Amino acid sequence: MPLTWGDILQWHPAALDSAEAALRAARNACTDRAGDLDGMATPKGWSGDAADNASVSLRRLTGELRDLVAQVSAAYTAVRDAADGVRGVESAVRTALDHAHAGEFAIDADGTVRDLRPQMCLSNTHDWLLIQQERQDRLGECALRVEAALRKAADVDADLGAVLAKILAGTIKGGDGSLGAAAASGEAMGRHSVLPPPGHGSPAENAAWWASLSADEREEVIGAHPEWIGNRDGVEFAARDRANRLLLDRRRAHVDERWAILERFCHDENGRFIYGNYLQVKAEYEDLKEERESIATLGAILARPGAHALLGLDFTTERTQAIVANGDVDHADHVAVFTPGLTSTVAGMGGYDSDMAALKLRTEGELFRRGEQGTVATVTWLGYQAPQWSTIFTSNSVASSGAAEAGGASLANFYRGINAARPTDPDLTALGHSYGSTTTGYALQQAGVDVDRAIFFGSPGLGTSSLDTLAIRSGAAYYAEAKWDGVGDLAAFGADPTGMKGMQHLQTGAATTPDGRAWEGIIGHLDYLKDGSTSQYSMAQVVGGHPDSAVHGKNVGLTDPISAQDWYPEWLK
Amino acid sequence: MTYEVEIGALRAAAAAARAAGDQVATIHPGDVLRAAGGAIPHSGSAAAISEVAGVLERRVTDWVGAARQYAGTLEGNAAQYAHDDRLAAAAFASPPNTAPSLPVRPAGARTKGPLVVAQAPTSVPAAPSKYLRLGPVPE
Amino acid sequence: MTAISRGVAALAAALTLALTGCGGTPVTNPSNGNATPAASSASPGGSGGVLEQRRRSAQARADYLALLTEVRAALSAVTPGLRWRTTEPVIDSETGCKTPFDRVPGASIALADSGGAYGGIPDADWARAWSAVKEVAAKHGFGDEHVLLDRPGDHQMSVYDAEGAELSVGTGVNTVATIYGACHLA
Repeated sequence: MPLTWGDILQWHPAALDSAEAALRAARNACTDRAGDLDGMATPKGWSGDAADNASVSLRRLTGELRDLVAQVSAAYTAVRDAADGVRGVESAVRTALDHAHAGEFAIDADGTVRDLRPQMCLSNTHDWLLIQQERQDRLGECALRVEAALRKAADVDADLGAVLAKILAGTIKGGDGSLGAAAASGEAMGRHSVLPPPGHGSPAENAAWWASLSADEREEVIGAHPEWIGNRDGVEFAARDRANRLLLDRRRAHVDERWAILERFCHDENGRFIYGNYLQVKAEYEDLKEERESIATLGAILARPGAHALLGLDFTTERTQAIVANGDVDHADHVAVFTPGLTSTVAGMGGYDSDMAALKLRTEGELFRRGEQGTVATVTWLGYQAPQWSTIFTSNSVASSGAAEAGGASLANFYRGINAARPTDPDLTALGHSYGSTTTGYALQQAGVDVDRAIFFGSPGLGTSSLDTLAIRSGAAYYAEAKWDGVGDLAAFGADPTGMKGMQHLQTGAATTPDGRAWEGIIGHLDYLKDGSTSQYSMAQVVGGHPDSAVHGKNVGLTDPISAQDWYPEWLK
Repeated sequence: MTYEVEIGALRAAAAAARAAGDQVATIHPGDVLRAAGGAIPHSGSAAAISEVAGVLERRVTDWVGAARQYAGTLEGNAAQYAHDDRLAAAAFASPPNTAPSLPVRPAGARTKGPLVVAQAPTSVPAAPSKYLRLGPVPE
Repeated sequence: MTAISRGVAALAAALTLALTGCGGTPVTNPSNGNATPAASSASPGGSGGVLEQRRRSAQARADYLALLTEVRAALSAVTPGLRWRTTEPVIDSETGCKTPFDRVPGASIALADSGGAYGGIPDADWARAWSAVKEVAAKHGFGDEHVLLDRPGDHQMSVYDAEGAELSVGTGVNTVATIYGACHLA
């Protein structure tokens, strides 16, 4: 009979904990008397039938004691690991119940999740559909957590059951050595493996899996299997950060070692570069070079004071990918995720990270200034293959939307992972610059991303001609484009955002000081996040959840389409 | 010629076996295991625990019995030799047993059985060894 | 737009990007067959030269904190009711530098915060408070002024120094003062 939700609600580790201690004590009572085994030996020089019989009896006795010690040891570790596994089940049950409570769902004894909230009516169809979808997604997530709890319970049951079966069958043997060795051998046979994550799990499935691990099991995963979780959307970010730091260190050691070898190979005894040798190892040489620079940048970011985190790391892709955060993404009230564009590399992402650190501080300052206490975390997401100059004529070109579409799918999972990993959803804003805004646009065309607001700046298009295709509330999309920003007027990927119906606009133009001096606003495709600029201020307002305080206004220039001009009627768009 | 030393050794071996038997008689892994089932009601393991507990209890009891029986036999042998010199001479006259009565304990005995290692499907594939085609780099 | 003209426009845009130097630093290390691999794009001789002239980051951090201490005092003198959240200003975090210094090894930016104060500076006192701030800031080389907001109950202004660091001060329900630092070598 498979376990039901009602069954596992009654699971608690206490009895297993007591049994673990008692079994260990029982085992030790045997191994502590190892000297008795030696003492049981008959004197040398004793021969004859009686001696032979005694010898046989003794051999059997010692063998059986070793087996018994091994079996009790196996029972001890099996019960110990089962106790920890049950702690994981309890954790999974608890988060499922928390989710249900927060979402106004009920979980029946058979595990069915029911929606307790009454139906809403909204006049705006787009928003109503969005809410229905979000509700459905949330119910589905709750159901996933119930499933994960049951899967964990089944795993604990299966692991413990397997050891019990071995004890029953007598296949746990104590070997030919000491009692201590028999104990160690038995312990090893009783151990449970940590339940691995679901293959190709969705962020919600991954979150549910993580919730089903006990604290000890999570530590084991971080330390022994960091690659399971470093990039796994849905796992809490503190754990991803720890795992990725470990992976970064490991990669650094490997890269440094290989680099030293290749450098020796490519230089003669006078230190001159041997081009012919370089050609032989060029592919690896260039890859290592790129990795070294990436590792250096990431290492420097993490080493500096402040709340920096490495939320993603991937050396297996053509160019290194990484995700870096400022602040605590697991707990911040407001989270902003920024996706940069053309020529962005991990090696060069320090500047973007710096912009995001400043945005975090600026947003927190603005919130405090208006009387709120909200905390903020900002993320620079370079989890895709941003087109480079070198790829301009390849499929990974800025001229094609391929990278943006693929990147958009990954980015959508990252957004989902933020909501799945946290008990309370943050106020989430997506930021996208240049080609990164196209990627963000594609990400927002996926269901269930649960992004509250999006700011696009300097965008060649969002991969769509209508904001209706974006899974974001009406009026929650913002566009900032500086005058003469040619990239922003490309309309290479869907419509020019400046002219899109329903798009809110953020001012980037000049302002004047009280004594009449003009302040240069943003011109061209330059830094929309310049410290103290109007656009940075507006972004801080939007990220902080106060978009009405942003400075609105279009910066329409000659390169913008007619439909963007102020006098162009809305109903024609 | 007396064989007091050898007879003493037999009695000591018997005493050691009795002590071991008494010690092992104090453990009740079966009872302990039975109580653990209460933590995980309705599971397959909880159902199996009762049977396994019984088996463990029986193995403990059997071993204690065997140890005491071994002790009893040695004590009986010792008494015989103490009483009858001829028997003792026959038992202890031959060259020493070259085969030790206890197996030699190998140093650093390996644990038996494979350690369980989970093969996890991961979202990050292992780095491909794509450089093999370039041949080894002279070190 | 047809697919072809879209592609052409994209390439034209790419050239525009190159000319206006957007985003991250363009990779100067071509991996084509003819050239030897170039040195990394960080050129300490060039952009690093500017940084060499500046004080080091430890000194800059100390200077920023000292300035914020004086700013706190100046604001409290005008509005004694301000209740600062921390006993003294702190370095909130440090990050890498922005272009053109983003690839210079050992270079960093410090973000220094006053800690913020509960309580706002009344509109009637704001001009006086801001003047006092500008006065202390001028002694530290901050002079280029920029007004973001200046309306009843909502003031936010900045002054910049020659290196590009920004001292940002504002008030509303509560009062804030922060320095977004410039790039310095260790």
